[in-house]
Amino acid sequence: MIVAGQIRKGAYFDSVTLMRVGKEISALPGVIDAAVVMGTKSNKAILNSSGLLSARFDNTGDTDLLVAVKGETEAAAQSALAAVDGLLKKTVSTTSSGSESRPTSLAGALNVIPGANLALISIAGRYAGEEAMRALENGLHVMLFSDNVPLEKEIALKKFAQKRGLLVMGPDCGTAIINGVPLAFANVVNRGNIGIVAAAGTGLQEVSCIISNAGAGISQAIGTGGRDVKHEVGGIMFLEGLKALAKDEQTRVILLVSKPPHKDVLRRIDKLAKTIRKPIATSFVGASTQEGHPSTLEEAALMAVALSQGQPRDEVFSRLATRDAEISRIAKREAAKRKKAQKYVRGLFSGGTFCAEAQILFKTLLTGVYSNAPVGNTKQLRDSLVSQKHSVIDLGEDEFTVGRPHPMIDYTLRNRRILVEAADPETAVILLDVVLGYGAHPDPAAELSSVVRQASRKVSVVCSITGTNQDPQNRGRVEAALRKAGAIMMPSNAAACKLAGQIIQCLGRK
Amino acid sequence: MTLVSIGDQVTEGTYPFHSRFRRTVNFRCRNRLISVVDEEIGDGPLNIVVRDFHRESTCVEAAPLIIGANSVALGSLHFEFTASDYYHSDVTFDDWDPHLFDHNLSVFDEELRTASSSKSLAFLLDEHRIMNFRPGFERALTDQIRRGVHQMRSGHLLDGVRTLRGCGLGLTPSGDDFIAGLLIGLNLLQQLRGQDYRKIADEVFRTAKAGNIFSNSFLDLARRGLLFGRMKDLVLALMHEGEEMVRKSAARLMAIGESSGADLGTGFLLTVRGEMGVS
Repeated sequence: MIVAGQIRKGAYFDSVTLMRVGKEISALPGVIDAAVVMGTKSNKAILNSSGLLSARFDNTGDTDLLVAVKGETEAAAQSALAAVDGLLKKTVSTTSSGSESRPTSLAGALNVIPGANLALISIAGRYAGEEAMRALENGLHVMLFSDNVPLEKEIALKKFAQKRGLLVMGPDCGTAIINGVPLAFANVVNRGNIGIVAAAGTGLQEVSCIISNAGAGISQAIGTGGRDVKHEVGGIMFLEGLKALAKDEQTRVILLVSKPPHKDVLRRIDKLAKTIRKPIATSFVGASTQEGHPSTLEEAALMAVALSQGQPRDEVFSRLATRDAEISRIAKREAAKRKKAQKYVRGLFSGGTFCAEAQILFKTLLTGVYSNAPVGNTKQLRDSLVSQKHSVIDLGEDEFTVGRPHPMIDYTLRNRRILVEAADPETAVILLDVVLGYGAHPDPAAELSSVVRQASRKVSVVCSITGTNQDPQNRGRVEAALRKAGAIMMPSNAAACKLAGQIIQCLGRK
Repeated sequence: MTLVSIGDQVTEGTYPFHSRFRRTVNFRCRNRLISVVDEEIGDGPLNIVVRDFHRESTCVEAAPLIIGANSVALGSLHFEFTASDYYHSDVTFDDWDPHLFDHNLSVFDEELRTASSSKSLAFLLDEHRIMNFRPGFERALTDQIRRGVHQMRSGHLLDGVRTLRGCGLGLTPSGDDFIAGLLIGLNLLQQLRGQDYRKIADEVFRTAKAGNIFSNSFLDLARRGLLFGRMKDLVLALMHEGEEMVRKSAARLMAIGESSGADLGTGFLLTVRGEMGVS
């Protein structure tokens, strides 16, 4: 007598199917008993007590389908297992069951969707470059989510793609929206006529959400990966993206988003932009801006909205000035609640672009700003785990994410840090971003509310949300929950930073 | 294709595809599932019922389900709905006749014993039905079920839940169906007896919850007294209707899955009859 087992991961079948298949296997020659069940603890106990438990089932869980056969001989048991596929297929066709089918290779995926023209690649960086090249050779645009792809490989991929009129978004490209389809970390935004090229992932998410929440929409949002605008890569894909939007019929206004590109790259972007007859708004976070040009992601997004709707640019600035007056009023109110020793802001960011934007905005509001990812005049923190004076921390930096999920997915590390900062008698304001959308934590309000509630008893917790009401998490719902927990909710990262900075300024005048 | 009804627990948002069956396409909504179903599956708190759905369901696999304030979008499909399209999943009643209810429960009991699937948990009502289970795995399954129900009857409700959870075949194993019936029964008892069983229901749910989203979704709704159409019809028939309507509603419930409807009905019946150790 022999017991043989088979495991099928991620296969769902209803009881009608499993009962029939179990019965048919049991009726096969040389089979003494058989069962086809989900791998719950109880079912494994039942398999055990009926002498059907195989050692192979030890590490299975509730969503694994277990096939157990007790045969008179090894051959009979194995032959019964071999028949399972056919029996399941036959039974499924006559019952209401089904199962998921997922290709396991690029070639397999192309067989399933022969007309596909874009591959999203998210595998270990050292293999990702080769896979991306294979996709390009198959005539596919590539979104390369993986990071740690060598610089030389990135350059080779982008040059190869450029020659063939294809896009390589990435490496380390976390977000894009192509023809209305959100890819990787992206939000559910309105379709519209504003096209975006961005070398800043959360920057792209922020502007696309602000645009959508303002009633306008996105035609395309092309990510390039942050390294694209550096000197070495030369902005190959940023420029290709810009050209693509210039040709794209759905795009009437173009918005460019990045941390400051290398000066040579910037020159090339400017040169190309002058040849394009569509209006262009830019937000190069941290680059010097001229009067009347956007200096924050929010201003750039609203500028693009105004351009797309034929409204005067000045209206954007005047609307934001009114909003900023309200921020000043809130700042005074919050400052009045703080004790004398409380004087510092502590920004804990999951988005790198937000951390950079905070530093840029604090430049005119605060002195003595430290960061683990310093931009401009900001000083380098001695130890990223210990805040100094005003500190803004990018929790998405490698030092925090090696061996653990990104802080947009896993709030554990940031929650702990929030409580540490709130316990510091010198902290006056904790500044937070919350990023919603596909890939982000499914229920950030549940994760954050309890710590926000605790922290807001001692400090002002200022928070912005990057997301829309159509996102799986629902911006409105998250905002209401965090407000209820005690956070002061701002409509953008820029507004949140301004409020945080002004609270500190008011404290200085107390 | 037309929209027939939308469950009252379906909220605005965008929900990614989870799985697809012949009559159902499921979308993940945190730890629950919103399902687009055909009329045969019918109304449910998280169901969007669409006429002729199955004929075109194959083209929507990869698309997310987008629920707006008054619209449903799925791939190229788009439906508008109004307040009158909502299916209300809660059951409330002002008055009831205890004699009628007791009589109807005995009719339902008879239906479960005589008309349910041979492999259903109705063997808990009639020991002779145990003969329908083959020696070996199936008998071991019935032994485990009996052990769990015995624990409940002896006042160890949560131990019984632990023994029953995840026990049996399919997407929602028989043990989970039984527990869902128990939760629905608790909710009804709460209204009938005027006692607050919410804490017990929450404990039962927490104990029963595991890694199976189908069961978790189903149990969560049952805990909150939110019923799918066929169960709601049965409860209303038990409260207010005559024997014929009770038999019809019982038959429709028992037609769910191989034994799911009957397993749920057995858990429900034993609970409302006060046999599950809930005072």
